[in-house]
Amino acid sequence: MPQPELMKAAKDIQLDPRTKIYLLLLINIVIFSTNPSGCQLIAKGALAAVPFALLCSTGMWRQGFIYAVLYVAGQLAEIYLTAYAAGAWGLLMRFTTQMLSRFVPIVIMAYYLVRTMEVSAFIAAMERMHVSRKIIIPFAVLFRFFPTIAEESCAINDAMRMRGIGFRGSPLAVLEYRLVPLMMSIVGIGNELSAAAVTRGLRITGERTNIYKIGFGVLDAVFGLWATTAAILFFIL
Amino acid sequence: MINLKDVSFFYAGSESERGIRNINLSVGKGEVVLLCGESGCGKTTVTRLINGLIPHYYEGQMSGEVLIGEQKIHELPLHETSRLVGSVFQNPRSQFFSVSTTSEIAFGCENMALPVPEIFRRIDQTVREFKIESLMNRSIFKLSGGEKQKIACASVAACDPPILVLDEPSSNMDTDAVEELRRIIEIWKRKGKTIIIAEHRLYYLRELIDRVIYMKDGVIAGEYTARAFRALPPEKLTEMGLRPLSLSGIVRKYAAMPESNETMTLLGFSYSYKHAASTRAALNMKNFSIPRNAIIAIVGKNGAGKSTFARCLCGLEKNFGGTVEEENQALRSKQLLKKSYMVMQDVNHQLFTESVLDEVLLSMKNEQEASAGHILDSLDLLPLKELHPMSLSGGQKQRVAIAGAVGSEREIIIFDEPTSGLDIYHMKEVALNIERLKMQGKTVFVITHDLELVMECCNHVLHFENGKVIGNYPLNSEGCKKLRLFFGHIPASD
Amino acid sequence: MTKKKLDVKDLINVGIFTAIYYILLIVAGFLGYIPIFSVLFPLVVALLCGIPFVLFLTRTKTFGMITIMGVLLGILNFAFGQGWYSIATGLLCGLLADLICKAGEYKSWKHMVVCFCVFSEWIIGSMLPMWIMKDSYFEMVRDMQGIAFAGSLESLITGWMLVLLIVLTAVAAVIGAYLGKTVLKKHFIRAGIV
Repeated sequence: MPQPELMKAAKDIQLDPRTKIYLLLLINIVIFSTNPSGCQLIAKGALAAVPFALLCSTGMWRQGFIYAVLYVAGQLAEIYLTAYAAGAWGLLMRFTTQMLSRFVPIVIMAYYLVRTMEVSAFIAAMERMHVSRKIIIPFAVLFRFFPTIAEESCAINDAMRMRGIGFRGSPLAVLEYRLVPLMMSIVGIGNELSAAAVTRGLRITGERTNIYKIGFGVLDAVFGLWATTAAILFFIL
Repeated sequence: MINLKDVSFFYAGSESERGIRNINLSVGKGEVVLLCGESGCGKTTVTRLINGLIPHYYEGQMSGEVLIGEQKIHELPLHETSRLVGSVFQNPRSQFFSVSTTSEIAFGCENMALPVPEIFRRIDQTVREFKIESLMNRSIFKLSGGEKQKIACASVAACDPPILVLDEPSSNMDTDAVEELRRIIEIWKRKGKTIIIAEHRLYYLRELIDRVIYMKDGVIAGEYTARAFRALPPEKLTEMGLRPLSLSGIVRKYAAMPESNETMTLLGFSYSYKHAASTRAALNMKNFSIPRNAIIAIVGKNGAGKSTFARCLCGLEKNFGGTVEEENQALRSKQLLKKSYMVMQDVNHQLFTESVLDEVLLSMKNEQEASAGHILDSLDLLPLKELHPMSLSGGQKQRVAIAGAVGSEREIIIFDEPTSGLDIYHMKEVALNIERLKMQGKTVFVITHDLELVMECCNHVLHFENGKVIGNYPLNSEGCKKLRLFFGHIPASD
Repeated sequence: MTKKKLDVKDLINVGIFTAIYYILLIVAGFLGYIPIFSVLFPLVVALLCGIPFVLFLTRTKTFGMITIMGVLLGILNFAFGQGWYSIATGLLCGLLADLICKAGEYKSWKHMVVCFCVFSEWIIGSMLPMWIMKDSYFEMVRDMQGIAFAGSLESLITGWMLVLLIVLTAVAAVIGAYLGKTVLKKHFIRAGIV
């Protein structure tokens, strides 16, 4: 019998990881790579609203609000202001509005993806999509190691401050002091991790199960349709 | 059940890890066998032979046979062996593949391709047996060392292998966590599992073991039944390089008290982390005084605020507003950063340069090779001065870190768990180094779970609980009684 | 010595070195906020990442590891909003680099240097949109900034510029590789880790 609390963990995942990837892909292609005008702007806005809705649906209200303000401000400025600006200021302005209206939606979508990423659910999704374990294993390790690297470099940073060698010496020396102990430590942890993983039966071939149930639900359908429609409209208009 | 027939193994291309020679060992079903001996005696190598990491993961030259039942482990692929043998390792930081506790416990079962409902049933059962409900669905990065080790045990237990191999599992644990580990091993023993434990800390295994294998220099140097082993006098154990079998066997080395009556006063040691998600404990201490130029043990359970205290005392917490008053001067965070020095639990983090000598020179205000040599000499490091710090043994690295502290002329030196996972010989060496620092006039703080170390070299105790100081006493005979009480055992006559 | 098949240890190594590589890439990315550096971004990455990459190569004995690293970096770049061209260039550069190293049986230093040069080019994938979608890009610039300005910028984004960027990245990669070798000798070999 599944434990109630285990089920809770499964329920926290609101969207199927595959839907998240699909949404990121759509936003990437539409918003990043084209130059909208007229009605296309509405379709683009509808697509840019997807990360906003996602953030709000997971309770990240503050982030959602900041994103909305940035995007709307950027888009309005791009439409109404940049035409009047010229020279160096115009360049800077154009650069900024471009960042806000094009880059920010993608970054926010990526942020949502990473923040709500349950590594095990992602592994389950990739297994479902028949991705080779040669990709899945390093991928899982990658995400397990980002926090480890952060932990280790905090400890190294403390040690450097304690010894007063924070920014002493040439940039190369600083790089060396930071990078070398970090890499030594990470490589050591990696070796031990590999040993532990193989004693738990991890291997590249052979059948494997996954406790994470993934599947498409109502939310997946809503967001999937929403983004797809917006993207189609964008290209027709 | 397990049969090692005349096994020898030498690690390929490694001088630091020595091999083992002519090991003959047979372990019956349901037996609990303790492998003990000094660091580097080969006990870890024996565990690696049983779980198949040798020769499939660690390369080297092997002869002889390792049998489990009829299966030849040295010929069996590792994923097959993993069904027979479950392993728990020393370092809780590095044995997790997943990021969340629940998926970690499921990991082994998933690899065995068990059906999902069966995996949930097993997780459920394990969680209840080990009483770890409160740890489920948590991030691995938010657990203490002891909690991580419990999850590691649970992960292995869910796979339900007939044999369990534990390699120094208690290294990073406080007294409470060790007790829980003991309970877990007890559960396994009741279920009839065959258990092999390589360990330095012996007292918690006293009533669990059936047989003891004593190793020295890569060979089996002695074999004892549990009764015979328990009957060994404490002096004999010390002579063998082993830790005592019970906490009452630990005796106070000497009762040297601080000679001077000088004190330092710690004011306003309150601190809480802004991030609610932080794993570190908060501090809320009333002002208190402690002797200067003393060796002060800081004891307390995990989460009592020991590390936060140490970080504040080192000046590593930028927004910490407390002060240390000594000799009519008040030291704030900024000054403390220059006045104190922490020898970290993982000393690897604080070694930066390419040679032992450079490491000391880097800490000195005026780089003088002569005085650096003097410092190295006082710590028996002079012959190693050209070597890369990371090529040294754990104990030597720790001495290099101490040399850095001495070189930078710090007055307050803090040790964070300096003896976790050390045998008695190396523990005494650490104690000696700490005493040397005191003789040079330093005030030394030692955060530790190691009663033996405290009894060996400390002369004052600070006892923390929930971010408060609940005990601040000299380690005289009265103090020893109080301390033993904390370590969970009724005071004997001191 | 080349091993025939990838094992779990290899894949975990790929994972941790990809993590280190990408973190350095993010560090280099902060330099990208300084205008000139944004063009030189691939050079900085090649320079910095030589250290982990050379260490990675000492642990690479099997065909496939470098390719997988390239693909993973591409996926990461995509996930962090850098467009999807990186996945293609990651796969391509990774595969070529892997073949080069294989030719040197994963132990020849010369092959390793060339391997790193080729590998480092993958990051240009994140800048490719500037060239590929040049037309729509400059249409917009013309609308907004006037023909003169667009012309001067457009003259920079030429095929030659791309070739120059590739060559400069390769040069930076050679320096990065030697930097990596120096650190390897100074620290990792002396520490007995390699």
